[in-house]
Amino acid sequence: MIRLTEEGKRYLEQGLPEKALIDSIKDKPRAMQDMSGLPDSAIAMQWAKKNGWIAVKGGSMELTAAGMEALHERYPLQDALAEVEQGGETGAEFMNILWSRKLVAEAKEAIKIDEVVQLTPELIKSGAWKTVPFRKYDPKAPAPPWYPGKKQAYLAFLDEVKTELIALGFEEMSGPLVELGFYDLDALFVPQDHPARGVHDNYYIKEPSHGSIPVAHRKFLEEIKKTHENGGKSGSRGWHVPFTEREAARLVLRSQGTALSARWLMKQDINIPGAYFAIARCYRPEKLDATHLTEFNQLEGIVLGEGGNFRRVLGLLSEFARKIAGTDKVKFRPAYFPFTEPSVQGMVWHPKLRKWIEMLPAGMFRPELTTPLGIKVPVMAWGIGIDRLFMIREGITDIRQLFSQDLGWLRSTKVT
Amino acid sequence: MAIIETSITDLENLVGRKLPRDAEKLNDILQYAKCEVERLENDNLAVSVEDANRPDLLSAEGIARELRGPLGVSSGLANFKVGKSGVTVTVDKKLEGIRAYAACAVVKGVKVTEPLLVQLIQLQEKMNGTYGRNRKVVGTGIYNFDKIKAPIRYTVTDPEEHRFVPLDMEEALTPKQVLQQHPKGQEFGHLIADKRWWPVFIDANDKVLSMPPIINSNYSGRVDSSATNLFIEATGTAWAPTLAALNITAAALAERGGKVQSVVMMYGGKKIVTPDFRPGAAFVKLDETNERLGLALKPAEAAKLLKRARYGVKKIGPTMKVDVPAYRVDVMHPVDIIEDIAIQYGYQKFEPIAPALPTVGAMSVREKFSDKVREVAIGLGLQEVLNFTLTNRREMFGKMSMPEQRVMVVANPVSSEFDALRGWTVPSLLGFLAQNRMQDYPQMIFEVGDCVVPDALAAERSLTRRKLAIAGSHVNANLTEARSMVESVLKNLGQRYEIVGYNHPSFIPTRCAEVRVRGRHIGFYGEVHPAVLEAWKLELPVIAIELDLDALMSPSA
Repeated sequence: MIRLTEEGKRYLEQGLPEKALIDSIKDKPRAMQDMSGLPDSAIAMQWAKKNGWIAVKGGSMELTAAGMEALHERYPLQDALAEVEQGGETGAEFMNILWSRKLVAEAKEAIKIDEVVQLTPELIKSGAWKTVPFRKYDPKAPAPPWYPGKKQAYLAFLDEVKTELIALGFEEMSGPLVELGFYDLDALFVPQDHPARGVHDNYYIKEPSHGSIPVAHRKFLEEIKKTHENGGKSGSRGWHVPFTEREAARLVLRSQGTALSARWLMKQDINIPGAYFAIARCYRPEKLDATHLTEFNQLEGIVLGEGGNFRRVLGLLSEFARKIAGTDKVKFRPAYFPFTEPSVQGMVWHPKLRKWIEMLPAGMFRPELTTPLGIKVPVMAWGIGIDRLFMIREGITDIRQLFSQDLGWLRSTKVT
Repeated sequence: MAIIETSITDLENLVGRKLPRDAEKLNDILQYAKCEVERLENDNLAVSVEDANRPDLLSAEGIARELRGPLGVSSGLANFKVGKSGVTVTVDKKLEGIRAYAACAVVKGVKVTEPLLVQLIQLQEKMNGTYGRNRKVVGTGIYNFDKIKAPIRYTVTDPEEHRFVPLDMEEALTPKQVLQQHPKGQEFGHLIADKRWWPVFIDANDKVLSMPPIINSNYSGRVDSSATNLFIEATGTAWAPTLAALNITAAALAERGGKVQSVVMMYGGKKIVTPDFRPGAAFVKLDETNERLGLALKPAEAAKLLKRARYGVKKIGPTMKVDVPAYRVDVMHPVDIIEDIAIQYGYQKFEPIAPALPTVGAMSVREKFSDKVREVAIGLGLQEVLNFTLTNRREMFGKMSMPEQRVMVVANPVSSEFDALRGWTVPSLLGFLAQNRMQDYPQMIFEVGDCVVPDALAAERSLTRRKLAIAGSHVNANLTEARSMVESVLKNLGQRYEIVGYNHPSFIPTRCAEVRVRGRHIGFYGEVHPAVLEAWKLELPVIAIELDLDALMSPSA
């Protein structure tokens, strides 16, 4: 027997709160904050929204066309309450809603004494189950939703990417979010007077503004300085731009995943041949909008060892296109990246957008990067905007959705 | 990445070939100059120049010169004939420490057409903006040569002397007034404002040509279709970029049929003749080229590709002696030339080699441990969420009833919402709950993510810590439930722990506890204080947990 709960009874008498809400804004919009005098305001807003009765604009609520209509019509859910009160039944659609709102419940006291509702340990142990009648259940009766614990949808995708890369033979790198300019820029041969080091491309730390170069890496600092100034031992003519340790010690929020590759190439125990990757959180001073995040993820990686060459770079990109972007259609274009020579942009074909999309930037590290770090073998490198790749793959148009604050959306995502 | 506007017709005239009017097909050609169609409407073409170190490509003339190679119109080193103008420019020693270098040229017989003016102005603007570091390192100027009387002096002036009428004005101003009143003076004045003396070009009639790198005079520094002979200059704080900027400008005018003539620059007793189109010398080893590219090019093939990229080839063999054009400021290392060989070979012709890595893949210790924690948290029935690590102190402390603590603050925030890295994670989760008051309860969420805490001993003056944070909200959320979850996480991770009382202003007194492992503080949990809930406009009870996973991971951390 289904009965109204206390809340259900109250609504039966006083009316459902969402109806009261739209009544209260029929003449003028109401600020979201100002819910005074409204009963059960949070519930009211939730249901008025779900019913499509109100729209929220600039922090205030307005009636929609559907809301206008609802003002003058009977609210079927109100009738459903009355039907349950009278006969314990109503249409399945409304019963579902009443259940999910906990406006109805199984009325235990109404059960006939000789009918069993819940099977109990006593009934099983005593054997009484053989004789007692079980109350008949309606299998069509709705059940409340059950939200399982699960992975955040974008992180689940990143997990897949990691699995693919590990299967290919890549070892994962990780490092600090606050970086020294030394790893983030200098080691990558970005001259100290370059516009890319400006406040429009990097977040700098206010206080303290500078860190220090670790003692173990000072030998690299010397070599990097020489390489910037005159090419050092790299065979390059260098930037001929002054290089100061002070600037190298400047603290910056990691602006590119390549900082991790630089750190790894400085490691004493780096494997040669070696293959490394990271999904690196990076930062750039951008205003948040549908196409920009101020904090984003890069899929960064290197392969180092004898025999590394440009054709193998293209082979890696083709593999990523297949395994990560899910396509065999890939083509390669000349490109410019400050750290690599030759550089390449891998474009993948997007069947829905019907165009080629730049997706897989890569190349071979310049000798100006590898020589000062004592690396004598070719290093193939890439840095993929994995956020954008996911968006395009899933048809997401607003990049903010990756960091979604919408629990409803997260709950609705499928487990992949 | 610079955008260069041109018309396809003008580009075609410069290249000497018809070009496709279809963006995709045009890209197949433009790729040889690392350029791409940005916009194509009727005859109007906007090209994005991808290479940030190629100022020579910042005009239609330069792009055309590059494309003539792969299109088979011309190959090898572009030959610029340079006559003598007989003009001398004396460079004053007093300019040292101000703007010490100048290089000049004369270009005669120029048909100053609309497309030429458009490209010339665009080249100046883009080159001085990017390569010239907004005119700081180098800036260029163009003049009507027929209004100038040689010899010319590049010298200094007192900010109050040498009045002249600046471009687009009518009245003569002192240099100081130019900085105050002229839009360009306001924009670029900071480059010289703090100097005692300011740079000027002055001709034999004592007329001011310009005050570099700020503004030309309106008399000789205005170039329109009436001009046929031009005087061009570049000034800068270093010699190499100054000469390069002049060479690039002169080369562009030569592409338009101008006859380039040299100028003698007098530096004290030293004479330097500019422009200087003598190529640089480079040596490219064929085996290194083939190793890097994975090809088996023969010397003659490599030479052909080099010429298509507009290099000169002096010697063909295992070591190629290559002439690098004077406008190629980007060539720093033989690998730059090797890339050009690859581009002319054609990226589409390379056969990719599928990876067969001899290495063993592995997840980092940190991520592996994080994944275990995530598995347990999901097992507890919690929804994983992903938040930004950039936040602000109001949310981290103010709304948490906490006194402000030291965190890593950004010096140049774009928004006050994101001006500091989070030092703890619970506020991010409360922020998430606050966004979801309309969603069904109970709401049980977690995040495994990074926080950054100041640390004076670290090289980066901070440590990035991996945290587990949990928040749960429903009518019966309480300390016992929080403890159950904490114990479940720790037991499933095989940790031995201790729970002790804890005071934390974000939690209800006595309804908060500290978690210790091996005697060390690794986190806390409790019932969030109603004052905090009120600050976040949360109407249901909330429990919160935060555990430091780095501390759990390694016994010593």
